[in-house]
Amino acid sequence: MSCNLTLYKPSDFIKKTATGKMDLTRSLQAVHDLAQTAGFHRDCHILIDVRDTESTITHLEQMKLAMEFGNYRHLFHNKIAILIPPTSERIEKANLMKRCLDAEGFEMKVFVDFEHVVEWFSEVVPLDETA
Amino acid sequence: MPLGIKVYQTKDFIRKTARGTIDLERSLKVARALAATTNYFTGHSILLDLRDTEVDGDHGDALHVAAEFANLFRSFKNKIAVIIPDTVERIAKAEFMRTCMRLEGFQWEFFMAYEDAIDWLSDITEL
Repeated sequence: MSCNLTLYKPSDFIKKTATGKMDLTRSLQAVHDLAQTAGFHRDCHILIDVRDTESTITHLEQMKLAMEFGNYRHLFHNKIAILIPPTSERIEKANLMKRCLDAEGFEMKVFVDFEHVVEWFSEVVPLDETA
Repeated sequence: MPLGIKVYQTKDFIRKTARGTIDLERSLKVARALAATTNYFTGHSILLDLRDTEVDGDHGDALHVAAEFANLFRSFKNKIAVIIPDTVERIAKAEFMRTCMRLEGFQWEFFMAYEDAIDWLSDITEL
C-alpha cells in the first residue's frame, strides 16, 4: 500500500448550478445574478456548474456573454471555474469562452471534474511522500 | 425565486490518499501518522481517500482500528470523511466502520463521490 498526506487550504467559493437548456437570455441572467453575489462575497472564487445543461449558445452569443461579464469586471476579483460535461462540443465552446474572458482580464479555467476545481481553489501543501 | 447559488466555506483539511491493499497493520500505521499530523494542524478536518484500495480485514479488525483512533484522537472534534469505491462489499464494510467510529464519538461519514465529501466538510449557505 502506498499513501500520501496533503494539507488543503481551500478558499471559500460561490457555486452557481444551472440545469436544462442554456440560451443567451438565461446565461445573461446568470451572469447578472453571479455579479451581484460576487459583489457581496469579494473574497470568494466562483464555480459555475453547467454539467447538467445543454448549451444552445452560438459563438457570437458567447462573445456577447463575455462582454456582459466584462461589464461587471469590477465585481469579479477572483478565480472563475466552469464545470462542463466532458464532450468535445462543450469543451470547444468552453475554451472559446475562456479565450473571450481571458481577453476581458478574468482568471478563468475549464474543468470536467469537481475534484480538480477544488485543487485549483486550494492551497495544496504536500506533507510527505509515503507513510 | 432561488438563484441556484450557494456559498461554500470549506475548512482546511488533511487529505490522506492510499492505494493498494489495506490490512490491520497498515491501517494502524496510517492512523498513527494521521494522528501525529492532526496534532500539529489542529482545527483541520480529515479526508481519507480510499478509492484505489482493497480491504483485507474483518469486523474484528475494524473494531481494533476504531479503538486505536479513539486512543490516538482523544481531543479530535472535527469531521472525518472517507471516500470509498462504489461496491456493495466496501459499502457494507464502511457502514460497519461508521457504526464503530460513531460509537467512539467521531463525526465520521463515508462517500462514494469526492464532491459529496467536500459538501459534507463545508458550511454551505444557499442564497
